[in-house]
Amino acid sequence: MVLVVAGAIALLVRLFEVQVLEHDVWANEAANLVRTGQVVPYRRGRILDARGRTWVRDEDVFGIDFTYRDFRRDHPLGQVAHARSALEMRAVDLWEAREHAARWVRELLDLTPAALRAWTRGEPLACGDLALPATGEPERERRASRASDLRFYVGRLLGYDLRDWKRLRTALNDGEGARTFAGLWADWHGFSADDVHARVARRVDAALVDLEYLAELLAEARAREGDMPLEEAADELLADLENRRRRTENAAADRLFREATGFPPGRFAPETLARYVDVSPIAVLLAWDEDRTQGWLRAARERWIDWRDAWTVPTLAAELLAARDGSGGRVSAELTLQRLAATFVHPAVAAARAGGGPRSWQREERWSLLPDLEGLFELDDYEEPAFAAWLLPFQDPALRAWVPPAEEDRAAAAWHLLGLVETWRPHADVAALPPAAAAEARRVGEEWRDLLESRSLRRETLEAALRDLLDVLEEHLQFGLSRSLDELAALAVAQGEATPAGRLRLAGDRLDRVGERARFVLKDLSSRSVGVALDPHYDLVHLLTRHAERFAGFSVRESRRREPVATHPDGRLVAASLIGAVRRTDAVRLHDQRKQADELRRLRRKGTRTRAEEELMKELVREVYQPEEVYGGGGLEGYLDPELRGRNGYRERVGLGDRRGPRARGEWALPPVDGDDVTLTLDLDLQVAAEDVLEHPRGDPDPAERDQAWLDAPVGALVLLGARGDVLAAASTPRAASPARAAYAEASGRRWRERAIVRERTLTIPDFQPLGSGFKPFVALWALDRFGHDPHEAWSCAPLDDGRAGYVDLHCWRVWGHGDVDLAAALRGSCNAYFARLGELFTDQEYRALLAAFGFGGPTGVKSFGRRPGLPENTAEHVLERDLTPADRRKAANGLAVIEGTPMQLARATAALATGRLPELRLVRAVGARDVAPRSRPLDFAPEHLARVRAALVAVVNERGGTAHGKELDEATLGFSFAAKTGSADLGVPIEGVEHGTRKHTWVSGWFPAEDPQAVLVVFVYDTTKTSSHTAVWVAQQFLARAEVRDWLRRNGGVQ
Amino acid sequence: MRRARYEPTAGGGGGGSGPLGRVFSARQVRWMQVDWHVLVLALILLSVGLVFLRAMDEADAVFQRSEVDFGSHLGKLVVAAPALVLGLLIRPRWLRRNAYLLYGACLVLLMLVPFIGQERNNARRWIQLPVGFDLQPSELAKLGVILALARVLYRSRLARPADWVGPLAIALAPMGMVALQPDLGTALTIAPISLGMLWLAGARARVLVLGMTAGAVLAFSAWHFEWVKSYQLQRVDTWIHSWEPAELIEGRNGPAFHSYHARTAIGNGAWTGTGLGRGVANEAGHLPERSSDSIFAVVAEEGGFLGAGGLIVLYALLIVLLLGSASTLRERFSRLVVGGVALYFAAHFFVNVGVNLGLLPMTGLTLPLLSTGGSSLLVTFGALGLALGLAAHREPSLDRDAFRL
Repeated sequence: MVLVVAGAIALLVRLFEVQVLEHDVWANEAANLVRTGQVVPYRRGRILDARGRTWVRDEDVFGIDFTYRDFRRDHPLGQVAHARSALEMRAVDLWEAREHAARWVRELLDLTPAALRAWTRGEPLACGDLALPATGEPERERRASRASDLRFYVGRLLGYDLRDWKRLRTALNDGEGARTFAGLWADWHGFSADDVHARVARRVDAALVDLEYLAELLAEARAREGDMPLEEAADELLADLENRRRRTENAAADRLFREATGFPPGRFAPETLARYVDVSPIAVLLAWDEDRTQGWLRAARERWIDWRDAWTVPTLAAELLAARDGSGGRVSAELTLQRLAATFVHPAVAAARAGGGPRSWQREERWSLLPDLEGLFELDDYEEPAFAAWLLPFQDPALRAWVPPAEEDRAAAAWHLLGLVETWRPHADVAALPPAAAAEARRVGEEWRDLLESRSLRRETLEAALRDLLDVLEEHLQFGLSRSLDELAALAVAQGEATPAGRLRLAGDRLDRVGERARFVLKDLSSRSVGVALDPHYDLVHLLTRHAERFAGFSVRESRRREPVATHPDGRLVAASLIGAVRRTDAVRLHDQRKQADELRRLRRKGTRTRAEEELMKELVREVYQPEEVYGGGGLEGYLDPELRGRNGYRERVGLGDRRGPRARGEWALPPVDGDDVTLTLDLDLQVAAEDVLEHPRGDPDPAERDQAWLDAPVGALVLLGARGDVLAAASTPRAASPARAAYAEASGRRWRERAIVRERTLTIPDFQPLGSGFKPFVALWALDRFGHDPHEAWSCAPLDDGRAGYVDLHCWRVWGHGDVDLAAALRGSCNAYFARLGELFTDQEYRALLAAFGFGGPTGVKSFGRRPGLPENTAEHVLERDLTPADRRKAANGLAVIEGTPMQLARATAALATGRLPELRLVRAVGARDVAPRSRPLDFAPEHLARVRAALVAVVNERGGTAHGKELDEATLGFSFAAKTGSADLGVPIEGVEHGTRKHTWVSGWFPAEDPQAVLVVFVYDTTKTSSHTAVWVAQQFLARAEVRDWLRRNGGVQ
Repeated sequence: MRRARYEPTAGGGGGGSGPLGRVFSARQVRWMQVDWHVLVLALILLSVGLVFLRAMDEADAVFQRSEVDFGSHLGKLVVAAPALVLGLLIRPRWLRRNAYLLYGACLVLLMLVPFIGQERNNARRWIQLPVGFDLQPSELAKLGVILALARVLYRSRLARPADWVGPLAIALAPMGMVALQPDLGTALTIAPISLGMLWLAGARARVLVLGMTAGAVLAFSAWHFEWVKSYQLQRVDTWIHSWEPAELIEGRNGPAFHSYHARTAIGNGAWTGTGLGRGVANEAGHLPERSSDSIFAVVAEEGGFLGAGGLIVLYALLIVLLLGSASTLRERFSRLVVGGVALYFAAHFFVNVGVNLGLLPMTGLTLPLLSTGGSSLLVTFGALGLALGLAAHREPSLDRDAFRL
């Protein structure tokens, strides 16, 4: 009695310790078992045009999710397929179930509970034509569990409620189990058995018809997403569902295998596993037959190889490239070997060493897989298989202790060692290799050295080489594993522990664990919803929400999509390359945030958190990207991502984790913070007009002067600025790839391929982009202002020795020359000879000062939020880096050869010329409620000099002899005056069949109204055969004549 | 010198007529002497079990599971309840005369298990019956051992070393057979019952301590030299490494899965518990065997320290009352059987609660009167009936030897 009392007291003390003293710990764990947390996504900010019209926004849409568990349990097709799978012990697919649904349902309903019970005891069972034989080992076939599944599915088919289940138990206990399921249900509900059959058959038929209708609607929804034709919709849907089922079951089998063995099944070659390891206990749990099991093993291997190629290899390559970039272009062989070896280190060791980097492979002791084999199988004590220690070269003691030849220095020896690793053969003595093999190893090492030290090494090349090397090592590993398992299997056969097929049995305790976990794993994996359609037709949403019971497994969820609102009639986003796009969070971003994500996961798991932890969790919830989250992938979406991106919220429910659970007890919520709206300076109307003009240029009215090839595939840009530097329109073409442009992509020669490349050309210089005569006004202004050039002094533009007009070595665009011209005439007629002579007067420093004064070679200001990815801009800072020769100076004054710029840079400089102030270009007017102030600085030039140059540019358009005169740019035609300078920059590429003809970029830069500048226009025509007067000028004219321009000007008081 | 055997006749009421009358007798039972305290306590514990099992069944219905079947449990109760009555009415003399026969029947059933038993979870322990549950002969064997030990110790005073041979053989034979099933947990529960009965029968304490020490050394050697199956070793390792909460939590997804969920449920209960059916064990449904081996964890979680502490007190009281009842009996065989039944309850109680609290390595053992399980209920009711009946029967005895409590 004393002992009993003492024992009871001991139990009470321990109970007190666990329940009271350790309560917080266990309450925390308990809460985690029933805790559901959900990140509440923010709404990404809108992008608006200057007038507040929405360009892009996040739009609430419906998404259709599919949950296989619900489909399996509640949809007649899923019920039939899985009931039949349980019966036949093979994965009966949905097509087969659909084909035989009527018959199989009838057969299932005609089963009797008693027959099922007898079957669990090993007796035979007949179900229609199917005859399941008797067995002496019903447990091995999991008959009890399969019978339970069958009862469940039959009950579901009949629509059992809780009362019916209890009636079934009673019926079994009362000896009524010999009646069929249909008969029993008929009795309970006052029907005949035939009625029951008919009712269930009707329900199954209706479900199949519903499924076909659903398939059609889903196919329509997917066709809108552009990835599925409407034909054979039902088959496609079944294929999709079947694939999801296979993936779910494969994932479950992977998890169970890993539970039993400690490593994923894909780590072994499928044929090795199939030959030596009895995985049937896992297959039995999933009701798989041999074929399905083999399919799983093959798929698991493919997944592992894919993972290795998509993750391990790129990571390895990135690490080596990063090491090279960080160490003056050299990668040590030691590092390469360490990183390679680290990929074969046991995961537990690697995890324990996370963040600490790999250690020397020669000191590594625990390698992948082998330690996991210990205790894995149902075997009595055994010696380590002979091959076990020799799977990889990294394990070979001779290689680990290898002494390099005396003549090799340390670096050469390390590369040699790498070569030995690649050329290693099991049980070959590396210390006494035949000369040919030794030479081969040295050569391979040197190849690696050359590859990794090559300055032109591309990531793809390195990845391919690493992949090949890993393939070689994997082959050794698989060979060794196969031999080891062969030995173990022979041992198991000798000990009588092998299966009849001679396979190794997994240890019983491991199988116990698998058995315990199987239900949870399957439930967990099959309960996960996956999206099958986004933004479907409302009919589909209506159907699934109003008649959910007819479409088990499918559900509607609210989702969000980045919706382009400002679109062209063809649906393409206006200013697509400038606005950019959003992307799903990629693996690299998730990887970069893994530490924060791990910390967040840890905190989410904690039942009780300190205040500091709660604050940290809030911070992390908002920082860490969610797998579904989007980020700005380019353009303004990328550049302004920090402003547009909001911060996620979090909703946590401490209650039941089961989705169907009604017992929620509490809620902890952190509201999301939506992203800021961004208001651009772009005017949507002007942007549409600009893109339309660039996409569909009419060209010179005179067919003989047209460059039809350019008109057919225009490449260029158009920039429209407000006088204070606001970017009103920034269009570039091509703005979309099209089948017609595909031929250009294939063509040889950069300028042809450029016709197929979509890029933001207003801000970039794809290759060589001289400004041509568009640069002359700035040269003229500098000459007038800085060294008192006499504007009235006339210089001759006369023929040179070769008969063509020019100056020294620079020809004028006008073959017969301009004669004697002063500055105004030279600007009006764009005389190259005059400016070549003027250019000789400039020093290098003066050119550089001129460029700086007008902002060439520097950022325009559109990236006012700093250096961020997304918005591309070439500043062309390399211009005039080298010392100029006299010839260079002559060319520089004509904007040739050494002077380059972007359309945006030229537009900014032109705005300075027109207004006397150099603006910082502004692309963003406001972020949220915060205005982005315009900024500018005055030009340091005398007003009269500015006025003289401006007048000359007015004359370019409006006076005879002007290069843009007679091009319908006059006030009478446009309704406002226009001042401009044309430019044609020869590229030195001859035009076939045209004597002295060269290909050129052409420009127009000007402002309007000429007398009161409100806007600045720059047109850039990339790579044409005609001069600006026949190309860029006509594009400008086409744009300026648009009603949108006049409307804008009217709104801004520039024209009545 | 052979002592004269006193065999009382049917005096004082007689034993009834016919073969059945020689086995059972209602008239021989002195109903006023039935230990109603024990019966009431047992019924209270049974009711506690029913209440919690009902709550589990309801939770399963809510969460669409079908792991616990309250109706089935009631059915088993109905099947097992006659065992209580039969135990109550059985005549001690018949029982004593046929103790070896019953023990032998248990051994036969155990021997049949490898041939006709059903395999579940890699163990072959059950024989299918057509009465609503499957029989687990190892459970019956415990009762068989109690009867056989009582029978052999009825004559033997364990004074000579040779006196130990019979009792040890009786205890070790079923232990070995059960261990081979394999069911080491059940096999080891026979050990404390046997040792306890030996002590109750007058074995010297130092001999028992010596035996227990040898047993401990044997157990340690079995663990240290890995003489037992790997999963059994792993259970011990897991137990050793799961004392601290942090270690147990660390291993929750491995071999400590069951221990982790049991400890989590118990620890979650705090002082007053989560409320009936509202524990994490019932809601999340991860706790294995929550209606049988782990029912204490569910009670502790939903009843809290007060509820679970009360259960421990009640159970201890039941054992003490049974031992007290035994101590009042003058007839040695009956006294040993009732004492053995008390030890049966004590062994199950301490092992089951100890396992759930992490005081002992994980092993599957029911908590009699509370857990589901047909064999367990049958043996529990039978044992309880015997304890009550033997204490209330009128058959006198001249035994006077010491009985230590």
